[in-house]
Amino acid sequence: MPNPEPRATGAADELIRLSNLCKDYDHRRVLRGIDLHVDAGEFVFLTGPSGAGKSTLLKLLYAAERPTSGEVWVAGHRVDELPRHRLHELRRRVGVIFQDFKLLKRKTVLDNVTFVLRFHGLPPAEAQRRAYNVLKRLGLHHRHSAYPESLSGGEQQRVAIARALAYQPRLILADEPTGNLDAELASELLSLLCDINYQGATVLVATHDHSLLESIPARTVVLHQGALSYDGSWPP
Amino acid sequence: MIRHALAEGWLLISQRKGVSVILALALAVPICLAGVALSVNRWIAPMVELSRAEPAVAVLLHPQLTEDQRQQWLEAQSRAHQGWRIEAVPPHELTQRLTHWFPYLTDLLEGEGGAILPPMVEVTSDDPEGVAALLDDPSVIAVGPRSSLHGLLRKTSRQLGWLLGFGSAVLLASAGLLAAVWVHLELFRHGDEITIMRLIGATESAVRGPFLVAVVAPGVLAALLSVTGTVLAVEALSRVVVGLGLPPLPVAPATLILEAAAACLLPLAAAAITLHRHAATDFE
Repeated sequence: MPNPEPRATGAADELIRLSNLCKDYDHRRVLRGIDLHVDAGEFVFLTGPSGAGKSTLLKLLYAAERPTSGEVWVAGHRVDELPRHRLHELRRRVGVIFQDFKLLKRKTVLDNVTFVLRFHGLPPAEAQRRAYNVLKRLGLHHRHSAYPESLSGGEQQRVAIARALAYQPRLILADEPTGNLDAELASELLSLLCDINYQGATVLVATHDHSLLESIPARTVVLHQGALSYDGSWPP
Repeated sequence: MIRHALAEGWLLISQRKGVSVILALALAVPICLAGVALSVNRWIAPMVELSRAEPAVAVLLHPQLTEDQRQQWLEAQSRAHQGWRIEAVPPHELTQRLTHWFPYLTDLLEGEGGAILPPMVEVTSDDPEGVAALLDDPSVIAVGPRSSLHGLLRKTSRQLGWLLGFGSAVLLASAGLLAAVWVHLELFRHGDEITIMRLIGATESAVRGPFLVAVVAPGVLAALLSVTGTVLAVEALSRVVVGLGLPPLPVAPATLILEAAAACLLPLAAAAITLHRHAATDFE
């Protein structure tokens, strides 16, 4: 039974810290001096209009981009200074739900999830068993042998979520996770993320969907034109 | 990790079996031709070596000359021609040297059993045609070949050696370029997949392993094809040259090893470089 609300957190250890973070693309400043702290176990919405810098901020957290200036700390590690050959260490601690799913087209649904577990050193049979269980939890076990292209947008989204959850990361980053889902599925997904959060994972959800923000009480960080304009409960 | 690379690499190959075989053939052909060129180059090496030697001309002296007369003649010639080096052929080498310089005398030499062999000297000179003037000397009965045909043969063999060496290098370079282009296109086709693998926490070895396996397999096939092709082609050429009375072409193991190494390593190196560059530009 999914938990309907995010976990209440007290003083806990800091999982994410952004200090005076700036990011430029072709001399255009996308993020302007962001300072942000997220404690372990928190559930945080990151919102703002399109182009506010939400996706860029997430990319900086899993080191798909390097900041122009400032510091990015995740789980005590300085991400912006991680050498390329050690990026996998960070990414194995962070589950990312991508806006465009990023599924491997030539692999089945089950293989997409198993694949990532194999990187974590699980033996093939154990990886496959765990992947199947995660798919079952997301109601996708009956499509385990299908290829991503034969799935609907919502199903692909759920495979991407299954892959991000499979190895039980400490931090879940979700970039517009309900963008391809109808209201009912979006609500189910939110419940699932709350449930994961309740089990101890920190969840950071980037969305521009205000109805999502209003559906659960959670800390909300608002970005406007690349700057942090609000940090607190929703509605402001 | 190796199992992962092999399994995923095999998956990549099995999805493009036809293309892999065609590319293996495309890689094998220039490498095979390079191997044949190297074999021919090796075969003509003695002729090229010969062309580096100073030109020598054999001179047959009259068999009636006494030992003293021969000695006087040698001293007189040495004084008259300061640039010449004149060496009398020792009696025990005479038959072999006569056969070398005057092949048309072979039947006569065999018939006579070497009983009345004329004395012979070898004159080394920068001007072989000048030595030919000795034919006017009454002590001389024949002057060996110093025609432009010999020089032409030497020059041609040397040029052919360079040409074949250069041709081999060009063919190997084209095989390398072909492998690089092929690998680049294959990696471009899988670019998104590689990026996703990196984003979900795969190590660089886990990302690169399958692609390295996928390019090595056609490389191994290309190695087998090119080595087999070279052996068959050299054997066929050997039959032709043996029919012309020339020695057979050698199939040097070193050439075959070079071919196999080129076929396997060229695509491997191209893949390693391309993957490294892809990693460097993936997250700028």
